[in-house]
Amino acid sequence: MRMPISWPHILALAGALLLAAPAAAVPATSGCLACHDRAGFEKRYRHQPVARTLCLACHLPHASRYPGLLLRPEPGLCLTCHQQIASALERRHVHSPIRRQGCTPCHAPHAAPRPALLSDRPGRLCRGCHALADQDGRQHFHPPARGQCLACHDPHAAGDPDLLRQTGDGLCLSCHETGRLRKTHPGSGPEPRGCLSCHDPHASPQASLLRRVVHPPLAEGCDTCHEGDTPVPAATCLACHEEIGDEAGKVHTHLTAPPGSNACVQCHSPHAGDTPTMLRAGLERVCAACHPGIPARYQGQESSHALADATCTDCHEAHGSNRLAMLRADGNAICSQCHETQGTFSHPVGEGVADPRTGQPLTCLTCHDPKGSPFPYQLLADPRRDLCIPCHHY
Amino acid sequence: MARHSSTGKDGPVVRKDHHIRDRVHPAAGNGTRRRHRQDPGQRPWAMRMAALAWVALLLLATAAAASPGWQWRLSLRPPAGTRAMRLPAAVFVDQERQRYYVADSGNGRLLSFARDGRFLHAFDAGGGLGTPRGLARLADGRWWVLDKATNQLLQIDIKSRSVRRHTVLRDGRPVLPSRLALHRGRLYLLDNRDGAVLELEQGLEVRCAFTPIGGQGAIDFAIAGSTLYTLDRGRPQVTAFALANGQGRTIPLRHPLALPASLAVAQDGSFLVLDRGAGKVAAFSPTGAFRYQMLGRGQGQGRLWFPAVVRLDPWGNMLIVDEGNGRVELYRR
Repeated sequence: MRMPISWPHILALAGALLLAAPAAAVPATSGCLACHDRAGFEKRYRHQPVARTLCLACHLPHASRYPGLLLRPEPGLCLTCHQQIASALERRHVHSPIRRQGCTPCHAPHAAPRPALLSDRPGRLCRGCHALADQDGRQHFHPPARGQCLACHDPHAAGDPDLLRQTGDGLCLSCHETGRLRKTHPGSGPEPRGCLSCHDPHASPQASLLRRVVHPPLAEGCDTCHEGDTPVPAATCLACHEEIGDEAGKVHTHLTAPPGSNACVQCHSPHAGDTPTMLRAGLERVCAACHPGIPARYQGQESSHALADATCTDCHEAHGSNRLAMLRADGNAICSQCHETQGTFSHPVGEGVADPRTGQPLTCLTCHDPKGSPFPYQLLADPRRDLCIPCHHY
Repeated sequence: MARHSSTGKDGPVVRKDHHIRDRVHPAAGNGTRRRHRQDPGQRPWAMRMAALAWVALLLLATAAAASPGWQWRLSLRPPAGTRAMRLPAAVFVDQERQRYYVADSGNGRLLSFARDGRFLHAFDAGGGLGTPRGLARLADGRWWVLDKATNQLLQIDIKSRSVRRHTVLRDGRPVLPSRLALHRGRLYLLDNRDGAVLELEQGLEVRCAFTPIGGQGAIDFAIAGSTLYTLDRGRPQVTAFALANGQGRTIPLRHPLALPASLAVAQDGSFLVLDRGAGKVAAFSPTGAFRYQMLGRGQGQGRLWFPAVVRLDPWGNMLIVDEGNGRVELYRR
C-alpha cells in the first residue's frame, strides 16, 4: 500500500523535529541562567555537567517528582556517572548521610572552592556531624584528627562500622613503628595488639591518648588478670564483679560467649573506655552487634521510640532478667517511668486484667510495639478497628 | 462520570463513557465503536465459575507455599479460671504415657497434659523447683529438671517425694545449663557459658563436649538417631555431630533469621528453626536450603510472641513453646 506524502505531513514532521531538538542538543545555559544566578556556578571547581552547561543532565526543565527538579533522587542520580563510588557503596557499612540524603550533604552539586566539590574543608565538614575532637576538655590530639579524617576513614563506605580504611591494628601500625611500640608496651608480644582497647584514636585528656576511664587492675600490671597468653575467662572478671555473676541465674542472661571467649569482653573493653561502663562502642552499636535486626525495625517507621532519646538499657537489662525480652520491669512499669499520665489513666492493664487471647496480663506492650510501627503511637495495628477487634468481638 | 447511551448498528445499547472510550481498539474504523470489554452480565456463568476456580486454586497454592500443610490444632494451657502459665520454657513429650509436660518457669511448676490437650496436673514440689527451664523423664519415672535460678539439675522422684540438687562441673567450674535432653538414657546439657553441648555420665561428670564449629556457640540442640544437631546463636547455621566420634560438619541455613532460638529435626533430616525475633518458624532441607516459613508475631491464634522452643512429637505434631503468650501451640499437618 502506498502512503501519499502531502505538504501537511512534511510540515508536521518538521515541526516535531524543531520541538524535540532543544532538549537533546541545545545547551541549557541560555534558558536556565536567565533566572539562576551565574555566580553560583562559577567557583574554582565546577561539576563537569555545569562546566559544559548541561543542566539537563541532572534536572528536568519543567516538572519532576523530586526536589530540585532532579531527574532521579540522590544518590542514584550521582551514581549514574560516578560508578566507582557506586561499587564502593556495595560495601557493608555506608556512611549514613549517603543512605539518608545522598551526596549533597558533603558535596556541592554545581561548584565549590575545593576539590571533589566538597562544601567545606574535610576536617570541618566531618565535625559538622561528628563533633568530638574538640569537646570535653581534651588536650591531646591524634595528629590526623586535626582535619585529616580521611587518613583513617573512608567517607563513603567500608567493611568496618566506623568506616575505617583497614580493620584491626593494621591501620595504626601503618604509621606507628612496631619496634618503638614494643619498647613502650613490654610484654605485649612480637606485635602489639588491640590498640583501640586502651587508646582513643581522636583525642583524650590523658597523655598517649589513653582513654578516659582506665580499668584499675591495668594500673597494677597486666598479670593482675592475665596468665601468660591464655585468654582471660569471664570468671576472672566475675571474681571482682560478683554482682554480675548473679545474673547468670536469671532466666534470660547475656553472660554467654562464643567458645573460648570471655562473655564480658563481648561488650566491654577490658582495659580502658570512654565511659564508666567501658563499653567497646556506643550503647546502641554494642547491642546491634548481636541484634542487628532491632534498629532496622524502628528505622523509617511512622512512629518510633528512636525518635525520642531512649537507649536500649532504659528498658532492657544489660546482663540478665527474669522478664520477657530482658525488660527491667514489667511492661507497664517500664513504660510509665516516662509515660506517667498513661501509667495512671489508660485502658485497664495489669495483673488483674487478662488478655482474652492468651490469659496473660495486659500491658502497654499488648497494644504498642515500642520499637516502632507503621501506625500512630507505635500501635500494633490500625487503631480505628484492627487493634481492638481481636479482644473486643462485637 | 457522565454516561451516554446510543443505539449501535449491530447491537443493542452501547454504553459510552470515558473509561470505555480509553480502551477502544484503534482498528475499529468503520464508524462503529466496538466494545473491548463485554458487559459482565452477558458473560456465561460457566466462564465465571472457571475464573473463580482458578482464583481459588491460586489462593490454595499460595497458602500451601506459605505453610505447607501445618494447621493449628490446639493450645496446651491450664483451664480458664486457673493460674495461667508464665514464661513457659520447655516441653517434654512422653511417648510411652502419651503425655506432654511443660516447664512453667514463671510459676515454678511443671504441668502435664494428655495427648488430646486436656490439662491433667500441676506439680511444684512444694515450691522447690525454682525456675524450671528444662525437663526430661527417665524410664523409671524419675525426673531431671533444670533450675535456672540456681543453675542446678534437680533429680525428682515423685513417688518418694524427694528432690535432689546437683551442680554439674566442667573444668572445675559450674555449668550454666540452658537446655536439657535425654537420649538413650544419657543426659545432654547445653552450657550457656560457651554454647557447647555436654554429654554427661551417669554420675553427671562431663563425658564429652560438642562445640559448634566456627560460630558463636549453640542456642539449642536436637538429637536424631545417632546425630546431634546444634543451632548456632549468632549465625544461621547448624552443626551436625556424629554422637559416636564427635565428628562435626556445618550446614549453613540459606535464609536470614532475626534471632534463631530453637531447632527441631524431622525424620527426613529436614530442619525447623524457630526465629524468636521474627516470631516465625522456618523450614530447611537437610542441606540447609530454605523451604518455607510460617506464623508471625502477635497474640492471636497462629501468632507467636517471643517463642522459646520448637519440637516435633512422635505423632507428627509440631509444638511451639510460646514464652510471651504463655502457652504451647500444637500444629499438625
